[in-house]
Amino acid sequence: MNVSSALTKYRATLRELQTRTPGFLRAREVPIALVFLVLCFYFWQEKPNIFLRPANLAVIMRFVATYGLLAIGELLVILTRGIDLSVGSMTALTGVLVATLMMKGFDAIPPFNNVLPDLSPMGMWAAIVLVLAFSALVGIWHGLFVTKFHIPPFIITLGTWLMASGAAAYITRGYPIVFPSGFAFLELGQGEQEVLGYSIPNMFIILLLVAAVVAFILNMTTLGRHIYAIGGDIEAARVSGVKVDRVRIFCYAGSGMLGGLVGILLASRLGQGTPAVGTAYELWAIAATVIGGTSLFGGEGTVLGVILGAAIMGVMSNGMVLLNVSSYLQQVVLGVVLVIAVTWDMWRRRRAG
Amino acid sequence: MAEQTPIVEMQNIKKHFGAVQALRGVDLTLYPGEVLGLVGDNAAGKSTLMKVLSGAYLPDEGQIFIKGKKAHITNPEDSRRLGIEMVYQDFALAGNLDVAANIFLGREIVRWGLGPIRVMNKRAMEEQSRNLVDRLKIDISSVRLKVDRLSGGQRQAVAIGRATAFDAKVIIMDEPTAALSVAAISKVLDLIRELKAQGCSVILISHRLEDIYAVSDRVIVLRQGRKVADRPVSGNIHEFRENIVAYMVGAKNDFSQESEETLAERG
Ligand SMILES: Nc1ncnc2c1ncn2[C@@H]1O[C@H](COP(=O)(O)OP(=O)(O)OP(=O)(O)O)[C@@H](O)[C@H]1O
Ligand SMILES: [Mg+2]
Repeated sequence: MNVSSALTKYRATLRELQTRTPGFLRAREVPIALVFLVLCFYFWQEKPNIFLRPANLAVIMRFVATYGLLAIGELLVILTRGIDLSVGSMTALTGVLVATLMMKGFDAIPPFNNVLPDLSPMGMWAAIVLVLAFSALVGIWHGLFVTKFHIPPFIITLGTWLMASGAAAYITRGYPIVFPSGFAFLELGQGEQEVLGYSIPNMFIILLLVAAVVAFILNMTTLGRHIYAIGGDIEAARVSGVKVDRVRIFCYAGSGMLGGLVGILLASRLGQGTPAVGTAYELWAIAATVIGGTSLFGGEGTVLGVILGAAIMGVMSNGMVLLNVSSYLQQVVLGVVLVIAVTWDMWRRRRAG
Repeated sequence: MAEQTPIVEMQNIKKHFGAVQALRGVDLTLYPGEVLGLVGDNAAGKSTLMKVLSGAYLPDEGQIFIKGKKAHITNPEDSRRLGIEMVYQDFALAGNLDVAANIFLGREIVRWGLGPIRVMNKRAMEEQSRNLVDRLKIDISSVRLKVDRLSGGQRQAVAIGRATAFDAKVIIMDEPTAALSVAAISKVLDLIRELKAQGCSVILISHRLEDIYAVSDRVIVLRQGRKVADRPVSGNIHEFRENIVAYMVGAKNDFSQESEETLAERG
């Protein structure tokens, strides 16, 4: 038997196998989930006493929550062939804002400090709602520039990236705004809930809630279908009556708001609003979406995949810490994973298309 | 037929793209139950004129009347609401979505809605798509196939099916037979005759003059953004073809602005 006939036979077997597998096993998330499980298994057998310890799992879950929430925002914009580079420095700005509002008050934020009389510090929920609204508005701002002025999303969100990190440092003059210990707000990012005997960080529960909402929108609603359609062919979507501008603006608003949410959670987690947080988080979030099977060309990607992508990154960085891998080397390894993910996606796409 | 109110009347439509004057004041009328052929050389402005009618482009100038009433078509939804559907030359399908999703794109069947959140009834859309595909005898194994996976002919069939599925009064087909085999072409021509029998009006753009001849009642020829002929389809196919080609290449023109030209000659 020569090589080419062996190859043909192999391909036929593969196809046979593919048609015989039930639908849900053919989903693109399956190989990603397998990678995740293999990684977990590897680190567990390397460090059996530490890896599965509740405290360690909580560390991983907070990591996954931070990047997972940002990555869900990136998913929304990347599905429509956009990108949001602002979320990292937006987490710094929103963290600083929420801390300032709660510790000092609205009058402490320039330029309002010059026009407003002294106000008292704001309540926790009022501050959170205000900051979420602000970050959603920033997202709408991006969406308006992208849709109405045809500014590339890369550029307009890069502008915000600069503005937000500058503003965060300017508002605080570079110093963190520290919450006193025992402050109720700290419970949000530091607290845990008992679920079936496991303690799950609040942040992770929030991730699951947000993931459920966004997955529902993407899979079940017309809005979600239109998001995918825009990524597939924006002109086709437009002539089919899809309100493409509105849908794209929604995606940027969603990404902006999730940036704000992560900013709030990190401020709570760290016990301070600091301009030093969030550096390059947008790149980690984009990496998580890509590792999770999202196509940077738009129109393909799922919430489940994105969370698995964030989970792979979370388990890898945690595992490498446990194995005492140098943090520089950790970045190299994650970079390699990213390249493999993108290449695999391209290869799969070429084979399918 | 001339006594009837036209279902579509476009007057003095002008449209430019940068330095390109794609349409220089075109009139077009379409009567109920009529099949109108629209022909012209490449870049004559056929697609542009039809995209103005379908709401994909806003004209620079000109007016559109639907059943005698002035219509303001500013986007594709307006046009659909007036009962106008278009099969685009490039099909206008989202390749990452399945057949059913494409057929219902922009008019999904909704189970329940709450403000901007409108939950789709996927099952109903799939069933209706299946029925449509069966009725039109489109050879597709499943309506859950992604359009990316379809052949050119299958895509064209889906695009045509989508335009004919929703009780449109006017159906515009921009080169609907370009990607099709001879057998499939005759299926599309039969479909056009059937639509006509049901009382639909059809505008057919095609480079295949034999197709235009086979189904059209009347033909309009565009040349360089102007209408140069508007006449009933008559005679045998050879006379028809010769005649139309003469208009297409500029040897004949029923609408040349004589006064302007003679003035220019004298001046
Ligand atoms: N979106 C656009 N942007 C810029 N120019 C355009 C656009 N659409 C059409 N044009 C130009 O307008 C002119 C008319 O194009 P149109 O597509 O209407 O021609 P057509 O008659 O449909 O040709 P074909 O037979 O090749 O399809 C061409 O010169 C074309 O380049
Ligand atoms: Mg054309």
